[in-house]
Amino acid sequence: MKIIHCADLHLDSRMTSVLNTTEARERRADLLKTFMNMVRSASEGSVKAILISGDLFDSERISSNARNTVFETILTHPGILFFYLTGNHERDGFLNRLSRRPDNLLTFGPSWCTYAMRIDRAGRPHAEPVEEGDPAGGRITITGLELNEANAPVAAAGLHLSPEDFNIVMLHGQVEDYPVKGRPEIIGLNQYANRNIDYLALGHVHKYHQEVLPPNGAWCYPGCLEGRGFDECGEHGYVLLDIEDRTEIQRREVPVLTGRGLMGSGFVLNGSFVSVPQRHFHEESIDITDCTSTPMILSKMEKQLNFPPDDLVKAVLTGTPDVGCEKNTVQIQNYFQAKFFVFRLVDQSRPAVDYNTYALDASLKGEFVRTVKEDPDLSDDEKAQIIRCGILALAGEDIDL
Amino acid sequence: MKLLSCHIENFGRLANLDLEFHGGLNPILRENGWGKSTFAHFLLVMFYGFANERKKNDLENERRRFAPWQNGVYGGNITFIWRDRKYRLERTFGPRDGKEDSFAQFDADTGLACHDFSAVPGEDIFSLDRPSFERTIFIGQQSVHTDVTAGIHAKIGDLTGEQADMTRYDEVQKRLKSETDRLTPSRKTGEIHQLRNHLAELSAVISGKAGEENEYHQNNLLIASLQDKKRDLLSELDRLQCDQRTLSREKDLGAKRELYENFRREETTALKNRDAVRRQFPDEIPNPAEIDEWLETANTLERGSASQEDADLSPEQQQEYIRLRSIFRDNVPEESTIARAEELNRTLQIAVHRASKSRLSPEEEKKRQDEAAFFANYLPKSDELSEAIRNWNRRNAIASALPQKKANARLLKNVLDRDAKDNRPRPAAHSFAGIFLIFCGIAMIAAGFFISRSPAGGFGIPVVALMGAGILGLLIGSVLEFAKGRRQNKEKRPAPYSDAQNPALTESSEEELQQLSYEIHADEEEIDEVEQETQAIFERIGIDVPIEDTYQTLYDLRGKVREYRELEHRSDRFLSGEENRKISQMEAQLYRFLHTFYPDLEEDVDMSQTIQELKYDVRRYREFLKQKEKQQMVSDRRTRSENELREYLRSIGYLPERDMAKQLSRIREQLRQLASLEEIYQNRKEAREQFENHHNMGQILAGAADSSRSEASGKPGQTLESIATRQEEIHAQISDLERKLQTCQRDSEKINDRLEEIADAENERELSAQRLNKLEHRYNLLMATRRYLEEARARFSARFMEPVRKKYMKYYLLLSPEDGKEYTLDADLNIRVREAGASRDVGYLSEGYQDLIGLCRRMAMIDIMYKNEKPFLLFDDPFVNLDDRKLSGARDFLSKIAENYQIIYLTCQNARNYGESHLP
Repeated sequence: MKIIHCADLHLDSRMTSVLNTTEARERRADLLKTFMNMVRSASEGSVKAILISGDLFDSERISSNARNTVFETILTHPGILFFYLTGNHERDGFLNRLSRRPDNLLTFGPSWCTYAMRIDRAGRPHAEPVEEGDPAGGRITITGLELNEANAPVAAAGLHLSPEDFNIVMLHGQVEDYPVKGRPEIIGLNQYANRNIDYLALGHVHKYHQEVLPPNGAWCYPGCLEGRGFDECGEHGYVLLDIEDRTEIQRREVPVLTGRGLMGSGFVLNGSFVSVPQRHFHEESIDITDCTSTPMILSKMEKQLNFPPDDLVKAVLTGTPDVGCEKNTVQIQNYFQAKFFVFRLVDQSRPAVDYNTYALDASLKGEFVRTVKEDPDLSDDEKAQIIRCGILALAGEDIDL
Repeated sequence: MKLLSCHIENFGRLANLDLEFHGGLNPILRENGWGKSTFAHFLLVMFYGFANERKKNDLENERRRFAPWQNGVYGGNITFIWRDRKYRLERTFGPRDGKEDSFAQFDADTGLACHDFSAVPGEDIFSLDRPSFERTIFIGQQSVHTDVTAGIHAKIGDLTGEQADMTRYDEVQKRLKSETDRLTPSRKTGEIHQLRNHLAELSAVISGKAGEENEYHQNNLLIASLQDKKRDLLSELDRLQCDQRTLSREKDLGAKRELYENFRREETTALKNRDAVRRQFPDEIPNPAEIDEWLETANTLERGSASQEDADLSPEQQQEYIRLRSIFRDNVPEESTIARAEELNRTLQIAVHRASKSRLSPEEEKKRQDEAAFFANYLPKSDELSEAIRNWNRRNAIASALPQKKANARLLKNVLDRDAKDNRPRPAAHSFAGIFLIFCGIAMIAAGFFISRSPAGGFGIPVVALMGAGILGLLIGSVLEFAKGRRQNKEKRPAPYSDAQNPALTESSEEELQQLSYEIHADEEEIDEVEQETQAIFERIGIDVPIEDTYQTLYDLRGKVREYRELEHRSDRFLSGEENRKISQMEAQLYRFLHTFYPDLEEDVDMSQTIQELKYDVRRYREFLKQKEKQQMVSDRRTRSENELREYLRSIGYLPERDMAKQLSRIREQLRQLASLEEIYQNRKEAREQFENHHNMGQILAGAADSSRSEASGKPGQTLESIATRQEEIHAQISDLERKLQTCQRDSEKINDRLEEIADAENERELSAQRLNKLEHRYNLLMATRRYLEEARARFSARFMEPVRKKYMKYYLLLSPEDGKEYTLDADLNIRVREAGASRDVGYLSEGYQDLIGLCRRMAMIDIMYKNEKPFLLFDDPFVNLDDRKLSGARDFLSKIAENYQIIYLTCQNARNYGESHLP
């Protein structure tokens, strides 16, 4: 059985802190399109369930466009079960507004809820809530809980799973070795180890991460589907789980965790990360220490910023160029703006002053440099910036600070 | 730099004025209104051009202010020395703007144009801009006190070219100030100030976020609860509809019961029909699949009997089979056996071929017998004959050399004999015969010629014979004479080995002759010996051979001996019979083998052909055997199948008929009929069961409508009417809920709009905060830069404060020697006076003191600025505010500075005229 695990889609995210209004609008459309693409791929790839481990939306306030898109997508794919765990961002914003819930949308609440999955003869998946006392063994179960301050401290203790089943548990929060009192979003791994969890499907962290969960399981963050800022560079996507039923074969005790293979109870789990984003965020540092002019900086940046034109690129100028370096950040910004979907320039370079050059300079500039240098209250960085400002002013140049 | 002369064409009120200047003091004493200040401005404009050209006020706009009063050309020229070269600048000015201005510069000595100066020659010559010039060199009336410009600073610092950034100080400060003013947080117009206010406004907007969010959340919860209620009502509505349907269905129970009875009747009829057909089968119902299978077998058997006939042998084949069976009755040879026979036959063929080559042909046998007869007496060996041939060759070689040896011996003997005799002359037998024959020949030819030429003669045979004989005689005579000449020449040459010349040679010749004689003798003996030996061979064989045929005969004999020995060898080998014996054995072996199969085989039969026939027969026989075996198998199987089929028919209770296929077809048809009836029966039965399953049969069969309805709905007292009433109530409640939901959603949208605004404000606040940080950083940086630039300028000036102060005091003491005031300078070279224990601004002093201080300050700066080539100084009556005591000091002052500077001193009062005027 194939299952997709995704989280932190943050549909309808404003993203205006890093993008302007037009760019943000287009990017929001990207997020929705990626979600639809994922569901379409799932349908084409005979995936039976999609686990959404929280933060499907960016906030409780959801635009009708995003709400309708998700609703219709779920409704038009009855062959896929959507296990939806609400996150700390959207809360019940999506579910509360639904006049009716699609049959294939399965949700969780503040108490543990377990569904047992089965496939009928027509190949359609079904999930039925598991009641206490139901016969266990040979099932694939999906269990989830929405953590809050009241249930977080006792949540793990109330989780009872059969070692004869393949158990997937969905939670939304930040994993730590131990829980933290008063912070329900912290998931203490020590509490969830040795509880017959084969796969802990987590959400909250926006970067793909996977590790062993004793004794034979694993916990995994799939990360977000699309980056939303320059703090979310790199690959994004979802995890595709392929669970093979080998209950008739003797259970293998040794888990294999290579990023692609995990062994469960009588089931063999093969997991793989699938990269899906339409655009990537890139942040690139460019050391301009050895540059003396804007064309040189442009040339160096051109070599380093070798990214697809649809991507979002942030270039950070670093290094210590000479204080007299001619550097026009507006020109640089304009030059690369046309090359990428979004281009941001951050100048973190610090001018370097060779005071020896001005030691015997009789001009006002020399006197100015020496005056600044001798001020003990200024840091080296401040001195360099003031000197650059003064030199540019004396040279009649634009004061590009 | 020194002014030499000037010519003013028209400038203000001055017109057509020529002035000449010399070094030192050049006082120009003129009454008021003459135009002294105009003249001073003429000099200024000649070096720097007009100022304030855009001013509308005529007094401020220099071009208009000094426009010629009398019209005419506006301008003039000025001649001066600079850097030891004499220049003349000529300028004319348009009345309104600079478009009509002209400026020309010449070398005043040559009169040639030059290009040493820019459009503002004063800046090139004095290294000062106009404001700096006006604050130093140009000392105007009522403007003695001065201040220090950046240009003056730069000039005092003696910085030139690129380093002269001090000149840009004011501009830079102005620019920085402009930028900091634009940004300033302290004024309302400052961008930082505005941004801070904007941020405060945004924060006020954002402060309501939590409340709005809570309201939204509460509204959301309300919507959720309304949705839940709606869902509950919808569920109830569904249930009611279900009940409604159930109750409606109950009305049809009677019809259903009748329908049920009909189902049952049809089922009973179908069962009867089926059982009737079933009874036609004597025993159990045979399996249709088995019947189909046996029917197929029966059909196959029928088809098989036909095909078997086709498979039987034809009469010819049968006959052939019988023949072959008689051959191979006892034994069918294996292929390996035949292969061995073939191999033996090949070996036999090879042996026969080899034996045929050893046997002599009749011709060869005859030849052998002839040669045996020839060599009956003696058969020499080939080696013996070869030896005889070699000996005979040697004998021939000796015999051929022998005559020469003998000739040599004779010659040697003659030489020895001739030497032994005297050298006598030999008679010349032919000495005269030749001459005689020549003469005779000539005579006969001549006679013949004459005869032929004579009239009686002719060219007849006698004449020809005569002339021919003559010619012959002439030729013979000539030959004889030639031979005679040669012989005489020989005789005249000395003999090379003549004893007369070499007596020792005679003895060796004798020895040589003797040796030669021995050799000749030995050769003759060897020749005899070889001839005798050869002859002896011939004699033993019995042939007589002439000596000249000896060699050829020996060769022939050797060939014949070899040929004879070969023939004899082959004859012996053939006669020995080993191969024949082997051939006979193989032939016998093969014959025995073939005879086993072919008893009538003749002895001289062709074995190869017979083996091939055997091989073909074997293959054919094996094919017949296979065919026979196949026929047998088919026959057996058919028999077995027929038996099995009969057995099967008996097993299902039938007596096998003759045509079992037809019997089985009939059974199959009965089975089909049975299956069809069975299907009809099952359909009827299924319909009944389905009806029973889908209907409450208890209700239907019981026929009690009231009690059954209560059981179906599970809700006593529920009727279709009560359901409809409840449905209406629910619909009303749902409508009410939907209205509430719409209201809530509108509220949500409003809150959402406000939250959107707040989000925008947050975003804007974030961006504004970033921008504010950036601007504050920029502002602080610019302010710091201004401050440090100012400090740098002060430090720059401080380097020259003390020299300027000293110069100042020098000039001040000239003007006011007993004053005793204490003066100080700041970094801007501003003079401050210390009085009553405090440093005070000179503005507090009287106008006279201020002029005094200003003049001294100017001179101090000029001294520092121009250390090498001094400029001229223009004094436009600067002492008007001085009291009498100071005026006397002014005289000293002027005379002192006139030692180093050319001074153009303009005044209107004789009392202040401190020099002798050289000017008109």
